[in-house]
Amino acid sequence: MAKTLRYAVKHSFPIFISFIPVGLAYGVLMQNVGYNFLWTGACSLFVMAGSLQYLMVSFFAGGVSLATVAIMALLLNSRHIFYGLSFIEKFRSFGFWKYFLIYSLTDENYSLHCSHDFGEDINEKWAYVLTALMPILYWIILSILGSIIGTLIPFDTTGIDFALTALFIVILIEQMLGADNLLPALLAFVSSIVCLLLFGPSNFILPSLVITVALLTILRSRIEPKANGKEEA
Amino acid sequence: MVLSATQSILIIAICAVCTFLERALPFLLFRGKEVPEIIRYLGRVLPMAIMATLVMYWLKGI
Repeated sequence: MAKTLRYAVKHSFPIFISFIPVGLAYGVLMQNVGYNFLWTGACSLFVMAGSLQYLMVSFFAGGVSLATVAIMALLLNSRHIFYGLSFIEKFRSFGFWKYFLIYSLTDENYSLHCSHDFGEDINEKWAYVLTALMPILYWIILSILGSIIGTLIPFDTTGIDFALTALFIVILIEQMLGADNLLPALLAFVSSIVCLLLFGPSNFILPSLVITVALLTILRSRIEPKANGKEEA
Repeated sequence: MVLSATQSILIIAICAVCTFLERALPFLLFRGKEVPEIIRYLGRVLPMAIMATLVMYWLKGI
């Protein structure tokens, strides 16, 4: 178990780095609208979604109906619907722990799940569970810390937020190097760019993913030509 | 705090439930059933596609 824990810490370390500015800043923002560390901790624990939590700060500033809260939450996190698709059977095989893994299926944990590289001697279930647990702990602790002492920290955080983008780029490259066919990435890029132009930066993800999934389905025989015999000619 | 504790708790609850439901949707849809081959295929190719989309999402802010 100690070995698995070490793996989990190592594998999730880049997430920790990227969470430092984002988590601390979130704590500060909550404090600014009058919510102390208990509220901040509760949001981080129960919602467990960085971008939505940032949006919630504006909700807490008042003037938003509960219906609007629900709609915006559903829209903002709609990409999460796609994450589970890759892990249905895997999580099911972990028994009761699948509930924890589903609950903790953030962008960051999704990227960690996609890039696991533990050896034969590590138990798969615990590798997944502990790796998913670490970012949760980092996030909760850092956001609470931000709430308590955030404004005292003087360092310039310019550029640190690139850590997450950099991590995603590295994981993407690893995916592409290990794949037979790069079409999924190409399709996703084209779809993203088109939707960025059509819908703007804040709204492009959902249409982009829908189009990407549609294209992946239509072009299945190009991407996986040796698929099962049910494939039509 | 502009809002009451009750209002705040409701907001947190709504956000938590919406997020969890979306994360759970694939598992709910195929609950107790064998996962169809087309979904398994998507499960294989989506990680690369989603990572590419996420990279675009984060890069757009730069």
